[in-house]
Amino acid sequence: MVKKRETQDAGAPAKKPIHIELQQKDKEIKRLSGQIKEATKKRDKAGRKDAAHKHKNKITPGKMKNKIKRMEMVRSMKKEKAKKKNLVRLKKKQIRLEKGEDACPRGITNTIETMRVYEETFIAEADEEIEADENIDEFNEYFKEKTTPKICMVTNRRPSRGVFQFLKELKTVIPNLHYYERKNFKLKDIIEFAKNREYTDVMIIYEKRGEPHTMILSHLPKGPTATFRISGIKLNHQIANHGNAVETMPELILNNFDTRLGHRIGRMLAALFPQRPNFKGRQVVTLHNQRDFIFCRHHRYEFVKNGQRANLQELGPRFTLKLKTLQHGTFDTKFGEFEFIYHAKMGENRKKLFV
Amino acid sequence: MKILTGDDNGLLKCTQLQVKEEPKLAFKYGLQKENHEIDDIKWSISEEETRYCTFIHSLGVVKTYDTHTEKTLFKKELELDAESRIKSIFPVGDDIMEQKLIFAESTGKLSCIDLDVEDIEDQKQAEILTVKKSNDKKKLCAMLHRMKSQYLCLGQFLPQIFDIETKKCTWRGKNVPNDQDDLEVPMFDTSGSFLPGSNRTFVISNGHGKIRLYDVCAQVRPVVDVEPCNYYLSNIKSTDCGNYVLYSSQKGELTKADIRMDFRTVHRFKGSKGSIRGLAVASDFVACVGLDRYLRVYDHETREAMANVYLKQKLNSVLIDVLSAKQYNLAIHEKRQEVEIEEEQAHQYYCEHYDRKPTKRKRRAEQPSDEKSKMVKIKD
Repeated sequence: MVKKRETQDAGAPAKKPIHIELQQKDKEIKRLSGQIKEATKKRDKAGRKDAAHKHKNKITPGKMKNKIKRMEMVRSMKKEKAKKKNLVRLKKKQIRLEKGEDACPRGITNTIETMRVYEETFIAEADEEIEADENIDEFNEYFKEKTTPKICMVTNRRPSRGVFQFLKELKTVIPNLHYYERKNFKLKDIIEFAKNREYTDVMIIYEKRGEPHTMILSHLPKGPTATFRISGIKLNHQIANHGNAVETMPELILNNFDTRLGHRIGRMLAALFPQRPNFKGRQVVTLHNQRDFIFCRHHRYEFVKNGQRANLQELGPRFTLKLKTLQHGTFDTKFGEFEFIYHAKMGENRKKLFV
Repeated sequence: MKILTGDDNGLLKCTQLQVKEEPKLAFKYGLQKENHEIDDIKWSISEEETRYCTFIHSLGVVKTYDTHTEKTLFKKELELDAESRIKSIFPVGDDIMEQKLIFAESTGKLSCIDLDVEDIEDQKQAEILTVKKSNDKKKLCAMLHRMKSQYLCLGQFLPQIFDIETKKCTWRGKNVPNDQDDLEVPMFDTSGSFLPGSNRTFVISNGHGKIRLYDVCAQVRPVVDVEPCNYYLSNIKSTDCGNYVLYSSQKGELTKADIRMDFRTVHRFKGSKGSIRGLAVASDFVACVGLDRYLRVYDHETREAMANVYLKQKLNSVLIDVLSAKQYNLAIHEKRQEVEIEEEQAHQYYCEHYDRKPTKRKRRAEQPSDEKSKMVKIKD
């Protein structure tokens, strides 16, 4: 049984009768005008004429030597600022209720995504040259349905217990994933063995202090190789109202892989999943990119109300990936050429995003 | 300034840099195909005559291209060994209609072929010599032109100079002495460059992070052997003055080093995020292209970043038009002088109208040198 959870509202809300709507509107306007009156009252110390910050000499807090007086001054200044801000907000709300939304239009809130630094490699429109390049790249055989994904999963030498639960749950997310013991093999040898056995990808998971820390994903036979940092892991049993996944071919959602590098990583992650999903299984994997972090979620969905709404139940695991390096060709740190390397100084400007 | 770049998809692009305008794409030629990378581009006749350029695709297709009319003059397909790629080409001949092409394969073969307008089927490529044993899996990485018919071959073997006419090796280098564990130091020379105005000294970059200076007439071993890092260095070029060297790495680092001070780093140029595959130097400018899909041009004298042009594909090779680079250099110098004059005038205006003295630095600069030495710092 899928439990109900408030998520998407595909259909339109139910309409109320007109006289009830007008009554509710009047009530709101009265409530707002009452709030505005209270805000304009001069009962508070902050609004009074003899408040410390309104002194005729206009001493600023920086020049006030007495700490207690200085703290009072700053508190009263902040309170008055907050009051003015609240007044403006309430008046705007009143105007919108009385005259409509167009009389006082809403502004755009500034977020890091809206203030993002212009990136030349951002793909806004379809580009012939870029499409032709993607027709020729290393993943073109997968997208032309000439190969099916077959992934070899391996860990670091002598893995501890903390990694295995994560690996088991990864198997439920990615179909056709085969685990092999690392023993004492070198990575270059493992890649050769995987090529001989017709694997399409090799996934290596490293642990640190008992928990999965990095993931190296190498596409075969010609690369590329991406290194991700894994964080924010939540296993199935740690998620509230979780379900239990079944091994089927899930559907895939990829969000916000907008730049050239993002396209490349998006195609690499998409090449892990089969092209033709099993819609009867009703399982979906979402890889959502936001501010260079890739959030991975696994859900089961159920359509309700004649397909107007879908209820979701989360299946494990839940984790976050961050791209550290992208290397051209298969794994070769010594002589390989890097397409992208993340340095700590790249993160200084938080509005500059690369994926 | 005109700069030609070769793609990973087989596209040849020309970008034009202008002083007062943004850089623009002059032309784009080629079809995007798989395994059609442009491995090397060279000017067909010489660096002074930059109308025709010769370039080669990875499957062995050679083309000569006219940059003025934007058309190919002729195209030829070469017969290559299995799993071999062409590492460098050298067109020989002053007449564009009757030229020869000397090329080096990664298996160590040096061959020659005629590039004629009349496409005769009987024309076959003639193998000149092989640099190493055919059983060896060692690769040839680069070939440089020394003088007349002598070429320097570099790769996973000792550097050697061959004379193509006599088909003999005229000079062979010797490896560095064994390391602390008495093990042989592995050879992996990725690229090199002769110092300007000399046929005897050349500089080599190594896949193990080493830079070496050889002198053909002095000794067989490298004269200077330095290890600035422990990862792959992809390219090295010397500047026009001959005192500095610019080298690039797999991680996108472009560094300027001084030859006179045993390759001590002078400056690191920031900007590149991916491995740098192609380097070109002309007058005061250095152009680098790489896997981050950008063409970056720097002025290595003033350390200024002149242009960052996004070219959409992974770039393999680059070539600068030397004459246009000199003209661009002059134009930039004029622009800088104009800016300096404007700044001085603005400063004088400010000092006159606001009765302010010039800043401390200017006062000290204006003072004669005798007075400067007399100035003593007063301590509290």
